[in-house]
Amino acid sequence: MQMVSLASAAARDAQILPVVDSSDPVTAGSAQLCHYDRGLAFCHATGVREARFTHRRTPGTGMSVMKRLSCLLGIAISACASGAATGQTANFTVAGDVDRPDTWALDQNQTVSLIDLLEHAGAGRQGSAIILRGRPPEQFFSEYVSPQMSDRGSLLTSHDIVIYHDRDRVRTAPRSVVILADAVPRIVNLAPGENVLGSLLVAIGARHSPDTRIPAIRTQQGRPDSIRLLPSDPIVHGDVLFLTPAVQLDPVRISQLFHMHVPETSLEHTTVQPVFALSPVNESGVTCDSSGLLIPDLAVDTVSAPEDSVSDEYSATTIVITPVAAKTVIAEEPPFAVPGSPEPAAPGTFPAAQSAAASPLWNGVFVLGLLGAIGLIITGWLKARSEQTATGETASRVKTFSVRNSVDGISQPANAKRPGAPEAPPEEQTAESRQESGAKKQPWSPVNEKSLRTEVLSTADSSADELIGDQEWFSGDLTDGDAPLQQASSPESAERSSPTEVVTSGPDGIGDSLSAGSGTDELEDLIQNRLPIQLQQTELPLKVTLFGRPAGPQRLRVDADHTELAAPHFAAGSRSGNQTREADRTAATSKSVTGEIAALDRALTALHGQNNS
Amino acid sequence: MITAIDFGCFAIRSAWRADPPNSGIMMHSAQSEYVVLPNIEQHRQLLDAHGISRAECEDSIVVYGNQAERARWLSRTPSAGIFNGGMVPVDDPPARQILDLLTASMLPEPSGHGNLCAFTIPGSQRRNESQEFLARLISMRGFEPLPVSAADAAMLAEGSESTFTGFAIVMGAETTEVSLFRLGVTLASNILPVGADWVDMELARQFKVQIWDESGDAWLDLGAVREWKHHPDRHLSSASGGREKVFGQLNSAVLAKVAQSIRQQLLLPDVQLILPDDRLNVVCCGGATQAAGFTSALTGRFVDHDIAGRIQSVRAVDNPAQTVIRGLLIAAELESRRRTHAAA
Repeated sequence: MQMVSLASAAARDAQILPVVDSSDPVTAGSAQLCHYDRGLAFCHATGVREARFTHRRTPGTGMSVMKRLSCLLGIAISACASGAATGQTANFTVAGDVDRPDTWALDQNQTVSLIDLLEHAGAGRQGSAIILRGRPPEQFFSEYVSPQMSDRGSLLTSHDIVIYHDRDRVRTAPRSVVILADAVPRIVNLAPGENVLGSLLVAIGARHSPDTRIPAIRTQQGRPDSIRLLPSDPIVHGDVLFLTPAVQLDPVRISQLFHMHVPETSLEHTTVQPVFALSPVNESGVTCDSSGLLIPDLAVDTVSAPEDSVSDEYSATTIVITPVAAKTVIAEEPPFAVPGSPEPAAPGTFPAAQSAAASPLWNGVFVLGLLGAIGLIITGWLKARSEQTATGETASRVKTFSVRNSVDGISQPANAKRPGAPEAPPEEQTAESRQESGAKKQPWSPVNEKSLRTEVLSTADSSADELIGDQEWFSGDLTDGDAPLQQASSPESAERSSPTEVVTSGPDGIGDSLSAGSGTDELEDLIQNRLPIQLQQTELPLKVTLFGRPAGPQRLRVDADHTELAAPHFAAGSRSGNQTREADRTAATSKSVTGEIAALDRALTALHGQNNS
Repeated sequence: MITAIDFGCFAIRSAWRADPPNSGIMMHSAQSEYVVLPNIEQHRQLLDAHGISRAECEDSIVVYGNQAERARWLSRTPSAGIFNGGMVPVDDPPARQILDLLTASMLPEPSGHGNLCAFTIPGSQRRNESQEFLARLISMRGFEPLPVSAADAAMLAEGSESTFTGFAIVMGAETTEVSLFRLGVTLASNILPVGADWVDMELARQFKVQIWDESGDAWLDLGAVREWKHHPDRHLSSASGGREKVFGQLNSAVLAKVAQSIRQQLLLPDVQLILPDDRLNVVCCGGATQAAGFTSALTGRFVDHDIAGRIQSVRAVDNPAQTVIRGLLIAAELESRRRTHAAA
């Protein structure tokens, strides 16, 4: 048996959902139960009802109450241990076709999804997002964003860089690149026209040589392409440039240029908006920003750059980096709401990013919830212990399957008796057979059957009474009028929707009706592959007569069938009689003899003429 | 009586519970191919001398089933599949009659009441026609036909440890079935029109693995390719030669389609609603899944399609030749019990 764990792969893809291709009719179409595309059948036979049933049967099919409470306790303890109120921040950078490319700082405990970040940055509704993860980025993911998404996209982690490219590319977002020069990714706006990497390096005072290759991620095509750029290569909108350690940077200059904020501490609930205009200017020293407005030449041009880092190649273009009112941006729009703040959150703030860490009130609620969870765990444990004592049985078997009655539409809970159904035999009648096979391999961990069943029955009762209404699809009182679960609506899928539908009952006792069956253990032996298989020789009739001509392995033939055969060509001198001439005329008129064949014919005729003479 | 028959494009297998109960499962297996020989006296005498069953057509002798292997050396053309192209043939009358012969030979005599026979339908095209024809063959033997998907059968046979939840992949000779289950209920299903034969044929084409008949026509020698690829040294991921590298690439192409199909199924709205974040087990069945490095190659395709985070494990079954037929028996048994309870 081959088994491979996907833990490593899953770790890489943790929290990253698969790419959603809304243009794919298979994935986009949801109205039909069965979908056909290019000869492929895509049938999803379970509808909303099944989903409703799924959610409502969760207490029975999933973890027990004890396990749930244990998990809750574990989560609570881990949340406490993680330092919920430490106030550490996480940085998220978004660039590309967004209105506000920026690096945002959030509380580390806040959950930020891809859609949250894109919405706040002013991205479109449909496009591709490239997520660069790691510090420095080492993992690249792509995710397609569309309005049809049922969730909020991937969950982002700290220091994620998101490059978004709108599908229609009609948005007038500022063109920008992301540079990784220090602890915080920096956004540099590009001027209209072509921008070369060397200009940027000169502008930020990076020491480099003409043959220095800067690693970069190009996302222009909607996917991350790792490239290496020379200073003479152009940089395009959406590029991510890894300046360190490829070039030598002056931290002081970087700090001055980007009007640096301390990234980790002072970024909390604020935003760093280091938007710069990197644009070629004319000789008058006035530059134009991306929107066409004139910006005073404040300052950093290549003239002041170190001489050894400026080559003649770039001297023709004077680069001006102009800080555009970073403080103003901060004052105008606090991007994230502060919990407990009297100011209402600005439009576009994250609904999921509401910080709940620093509030003492929230901490109190958290502690109360933790205590409540502990109390529920203890109560459940005591209850289970008392039930075990009451039953006093030690069985070790749990059925793993049951027959699902497609007439009734769904299996009924253990306590629901169907009209006309036979009475189940007492437990003692089946205990012996269960114990016999209990020593064999079981897919479930050995548990006390009686206690388990009792526990699950109570769960089923509560499920039917509390969660499911009388008029709803699954009410626990199945009648003939209940609609069966439609598996498929097309003939193609009808064959798959055979009346047999196997569900696992596991501990919830759905298949108790089968416990009365005499052959349940035989069926389980079949499922568990415990029955020996005897391969027998097939006896075929020694001689039979078939009608027709066998087609044979035609598709394995390499040479294509000849669509027309060349006419035979005989020597003219060997002809005798009218029949031969007639045959030759027929052949000559039906097939055209050209080129080499005609020459061969003449040679053969001459040869035969010589022989005859 | 509960029986099952799996009409596979490589082999046809049938099984039923032996009498008395708990004594095991009786199983028959026959290759779904035939060899065409010239109808000459020497061939007839030779086949009679070796006790090889045959069928005589207009101007040829047909040796079918497992006997075809014994008579292949008499022919200079490769064996022909009964399900040529992965479906019940419509232009090959002897092949349709051979299907009837094999079905009659591989199914037991019905006994008692409730004679049920679960069967699979080969191919991805014209499945309704194939189902109708095969169901008629089974009905002629006295059984009530019960069509079951091969993926359903595989999940029934191998999904007990995962509570019948997850993906079942059945890589057959002509098609690959991919289905997603939750608690034994099919949520989504897909039949890809590629299988192991596609890989074999491409290998034979690219590396000119051919045989020539008496008239000089060349034929792809799939038998030689199968013999080559079943060598234990073959590995999908670590290729040691050119042919092995192409072999891995062809399988990788098929597995990429499988992964793409799984990704599409995971993105279905109903699936996202029912199994939003569950990590699912994948059970792989079929002869092609026994190649060394198969699970690793499939895992790589999952990573390529960004769905590795949704997969718990990838498992190739131990005995793919018996998995589907055992699942069919389970399906028939369940259906029989359901009817019994409904009647009561």
